[in-house]
Parts: sequence; C-alpha cells; structure tokens
Amino acid sequence: MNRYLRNCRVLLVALLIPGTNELIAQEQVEPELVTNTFSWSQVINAQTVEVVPRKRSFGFMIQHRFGAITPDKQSYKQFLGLDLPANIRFGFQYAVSDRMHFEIGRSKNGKMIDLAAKARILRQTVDNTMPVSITGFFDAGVMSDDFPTVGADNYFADGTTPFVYVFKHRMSYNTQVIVARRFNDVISLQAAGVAVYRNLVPLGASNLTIAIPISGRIKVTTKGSILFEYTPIVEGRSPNSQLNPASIAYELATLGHVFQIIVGTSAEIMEQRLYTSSALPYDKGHVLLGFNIARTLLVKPKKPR
Amino acid sequence: MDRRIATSFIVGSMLALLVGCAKDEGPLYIPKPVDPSEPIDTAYFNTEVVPIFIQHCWNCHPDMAALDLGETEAYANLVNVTSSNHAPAIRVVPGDLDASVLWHKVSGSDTYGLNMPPNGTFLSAQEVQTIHDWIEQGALNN
Repeated sequence: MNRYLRNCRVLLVALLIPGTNELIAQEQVEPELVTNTFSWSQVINAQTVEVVPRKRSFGFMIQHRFGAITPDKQSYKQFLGLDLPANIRFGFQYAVSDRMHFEIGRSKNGKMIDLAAKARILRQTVDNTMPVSITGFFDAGVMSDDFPTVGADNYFADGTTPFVYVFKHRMSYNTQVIVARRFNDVISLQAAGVAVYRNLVPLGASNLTIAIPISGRIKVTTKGSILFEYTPIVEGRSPNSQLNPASIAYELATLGHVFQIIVGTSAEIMEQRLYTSSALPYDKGHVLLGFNIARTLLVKPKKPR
Repeated sequence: MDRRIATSFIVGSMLALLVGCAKDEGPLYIPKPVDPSEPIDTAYFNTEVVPIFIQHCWNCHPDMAALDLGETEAYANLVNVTSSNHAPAIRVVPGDLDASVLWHKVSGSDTYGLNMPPNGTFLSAQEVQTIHDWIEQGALNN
C-alpha cells in the first residue's frame, strides 16, 4: 500500500514539474533491498552476509566459550564447564561505507590478533530480481603467543632442513564468499565457501583447509530466534578429527544489540582454528556452552552542506 | 575517504599474502642415532617432565585443583590413578602408553575428548617425546 501511494506521489510530481522523467525512471527501477537477513555480522561462529550497516558506525562484540560438558558427574562439579579454561574474543568493527566494514579482534587461544575486511557484493531485493545476498570476507590472523622451544633434533617435514620458527609461521588467513537468502520474516538460510590457509601446520596436516558452513535463523518471536550452523570440512581436515563443527544458539536481538546463548562443539572462535582443529566428540555427548554479545553503535549520517 | 581506506587495506592484504605466505610443516623430531653400547637416555620425572607440566599445564591444574600438576603432587596424582573424567581408565600406567590417558591427551589422539593443552599453546615434539620416554621407561619418580 505504501509503495502504491509513493508511486502515485511520484507520478503527480512528474505531471506538475517538467523534466523529472529521468528521476522518476530512477525511482521506479531502484529495487527495495531485503534487510536484516541476520541480526549481526556472525551467525554463531560463521560470518553472515551482514556488515555494520551505516558509514562511520561502530560494532563491538564479545564472544565467549566455556569448557567442555562431559556426560558424567564431573560436569556438575565443574558447573557445566564454567570452571574450566575458556576462550574469549573481543572484536571491534568500523564501517567505512554502508557496504563495508573493517574489524580488529583478539582472541585468547593462541593469543591471536586478527584484522578483517568485509564487503557486500550483491544484495537480495524484495522483488526477487536479485534472489540472494552475497558478501566477501577476508581475515589475516597473527598468533602472538610464544613459540615453544625446539631443540637441534627438530626438522621441517623434509627431514633435512633444521627447524626454526620465523614470523611467517604466526600468520594464517581466511577468505570467504557468503551467500544468503531471507525467505520470509521467519527463515533465513546461508552457505559459504571458506578457504583457510595456515603458513605452518603440524606434521601430516594440510596448509589449506576448505569448509562450507551451512547456517540459518528461525525467528520464533519478535526479538527471539533459533540459530544453527553445521560446517562440513571438505579439504584439509585435522588428521585426528572425524566430526564437523556444529552449534545451535538462542538469540535475543534488538536494534543494535544482540545476545546469544550457545551450545557448541568447539572452544575455538576464529575460523583459522575452528575449522582446522578437532571438534568435541558430540556424538558421545560432549558439548560446551558459550555466549556472544554484540553491540552496534549507529552514527547519524552527516548532513549535506 | 572510504575508497582510499578500502584500497589501502586490499593492497596491504595482498602484500601480506605475498610477503607473508609460507608452506611449512613441522617440527619433525628425529632423535640422534643411539649407540647400542651406551646406556638409554633416561627421562627424569622431576627435572624433565615436571617442568613441562609447570610451563604448559599448571595454569589450569594448580595446587588444590581437581588434578594438581604442581611439583609436589603431580606424581601422586598421575601414576596408577584412575581418571576422574574417564574412569576406569588410568591416568598413567607405567610402561603402557596406550593405556595411559595422559599420553592420549598430550599426543592428540582424541581418544579421551579434548586434547591437552587446550588453550592454543602446544607441546613441542621434544616435550611429547620426553613424556613418551618417561611413561615407556616405567613412569618412575626419579
């Protein structure tokens, strides 16, 4: 109805003011974009197609994963894993345009500092001329923890070159193309192609890991949603790992504020570690709890002079 | 403005990839050949194994914890002691690596859930070898 009224108004202006035909043509062909496919820039661990939505605005997030819950009485002693070592990441985002943000984060595991850029490539439209949203993401991580000491009897995989740690060994990269569609007010689904590259890997592991996180959101109330993600590792799986990471979460989201309670299968948060390490044996009942908190601080757009 | 920042970030990222890319695997621990006439290199618990626990484990397994891996209690808490999380498995069975939960945890076998240490640090191949030798040589309190 609103759209109909707007079109009538534009038509009326066109009749009264000559030379506005071009403007009207633009107004009419500008498709309405689908918004809020997901509530913020991550589903649970996987990136979404969303970016910090307005130029010069900020995003801040805390991601926390507790220790493992095992199917025995120890879990009660350890208060469902809350007494065990945890992993935490702080992230800060800044939108350089309405379609792109940069991010800097720091996570406990590996004392990893990461720098990322995320940009919307295509956006889903209401009239379905563009049925999906597509976003690109790149992240470079630096492991800042101390390297362990290595003796003279250690070699690279060739067995002849003496092993020494160098700065390059701290670096790992993560590149993604994310495709999502909001089907209606209730259901959003997403898939991504993720390539993780680590400069140094343990013996027998692959430098390149490829994963395809599949995730989604089902809105159950105005503010509440159930989230899920499952990530098949298609290439470069950890030699010890047989299970793919999976998580479910309940999300409470308001404009600019997101809170998620998570049941997950890995304490890792960054893709470089999450998709290259073993998931907890959740087939035997091992899981962990966690939460994400995200806040978007929207800055008013500058008034045109 | 945003285009300039975006361009510099993309150029910076490409440079980081070009300059900072490596394809390395390791470390591979190859012990020096042992002369059969020489005595076996004994792994000592108090001077070789305990320092590994202090450096990598003690942060989460301190005094008074469910599993204290400090200098005074580590031996008593490990050798021939039933694992509280994986009973009836034993934490360290002298001379039997496969039956020792500790060995599975530090060697990354995934047999007993989360491998150790879980917080992103890791044991060097040499440290793993020391624990291996200590258990294999009878897990002595030496």
